[in-house]
Amino acid sequence: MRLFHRILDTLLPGQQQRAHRAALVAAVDRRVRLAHSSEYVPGDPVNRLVNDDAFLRDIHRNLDPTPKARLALDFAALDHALTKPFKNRIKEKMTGFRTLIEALDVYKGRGRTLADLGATAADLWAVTEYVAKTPQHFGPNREPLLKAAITSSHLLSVEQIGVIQTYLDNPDQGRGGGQQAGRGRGGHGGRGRGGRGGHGGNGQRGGRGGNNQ
Amino acid sequence: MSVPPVVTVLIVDTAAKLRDTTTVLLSSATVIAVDIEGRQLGRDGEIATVQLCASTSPDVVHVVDIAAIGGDVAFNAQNGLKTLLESPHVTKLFFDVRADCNALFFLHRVAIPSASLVDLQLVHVVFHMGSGNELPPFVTSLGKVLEYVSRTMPAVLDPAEHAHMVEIKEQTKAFFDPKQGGSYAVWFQRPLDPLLLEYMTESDRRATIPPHP
Repeated sequence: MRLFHRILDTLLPGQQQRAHRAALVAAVDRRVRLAHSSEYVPGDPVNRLVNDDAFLRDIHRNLDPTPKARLALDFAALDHALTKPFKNRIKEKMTGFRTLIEALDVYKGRGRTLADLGATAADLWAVTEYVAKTPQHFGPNREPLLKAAITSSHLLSVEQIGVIQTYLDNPDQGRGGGQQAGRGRGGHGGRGRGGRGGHGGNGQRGGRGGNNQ
Repeated sequence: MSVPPVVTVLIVDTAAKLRDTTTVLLSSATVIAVDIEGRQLGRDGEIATVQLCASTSPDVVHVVDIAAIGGDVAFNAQNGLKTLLESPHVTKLFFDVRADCNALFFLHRVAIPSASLVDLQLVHVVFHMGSGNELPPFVTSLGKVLEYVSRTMPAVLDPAEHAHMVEIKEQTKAFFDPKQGGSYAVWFQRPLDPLLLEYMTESDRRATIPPHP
């Protein structure tokens, strides 16, 4: 019991407790709300999962982690959708970026593209969809990022560009559209890149497109 | 192996003792570690004991014997436990609040305000990410957190003390873990086995348990 006090003071000393208070209260509030509902199933293995959307959003919205951790968070949210070579490359490059926005700035005219970091069409679509569906994370950067994604159209299918355009035309659409757009077949592969299938969109999983060769 | 530091265990097994305990804690404590034992903790289960340990006197653990006092009496408005847990002025420190809150709320109508809660499991997530790591896929168990603290911060948790705790936990599992032939009914048997009491309170079986003042 007394170890609880020692652990708290060790893991998060007073000053840091205050700095992260909003994140901790938001996350615990979500847990309490869940516990006060009949949705909570005591002992369910799913209780062990951290990486569910709502928990991540609470932490994401309120936590002010180190820049590197912030980028890690962004990519943790995308982990299921990104290809391994791209993830590895991003991890190598993490120290060079402070946030996902900064990483995505490569869209916006530094003479590089995400493809230069090893992004496939699937990666590009996953990142773009993440930007589109989490406006709260990107604020005013969302629109230029989506526009920049369209300029990488050689990596995207006509349908995917249409979806991005829909997001741009309906800024408040937020999360819904991507789910609809992604349903279905694997979509188009990255043209000119050979073997890899494209991305179905689907926002959550399953998007690692089919073999369209 | 070193002997764990002595912990004073105060058994609170009558309504009068509970009133005295909660009166003292409400007037003096600002942070209280809370842990609960019972059967199938959650809305379909039953609470046997509530352990309380104030940061102002971390070497004293109050074991509120809900099974002896009776849940309806222990949590009624007169005896202070509900008031203490629901107080916005006293921070309650749990490790994974979900099952405990589910049980307290549905079984005894105790609604702990989120703003007065700190969940050490979430603190660990924040600590983990603040150290530059990616979001872990699963939340971490108390056992793993203690192992980490013992390994990396031996001044906080002496490895020998930790090894002793692991040993006690393994031994007590045989009492209450159905997979090992035990039963959660042991939490309701009186007197509580000294080994279980040691497990609940980090005390030492050789420590005396003084009568309640």
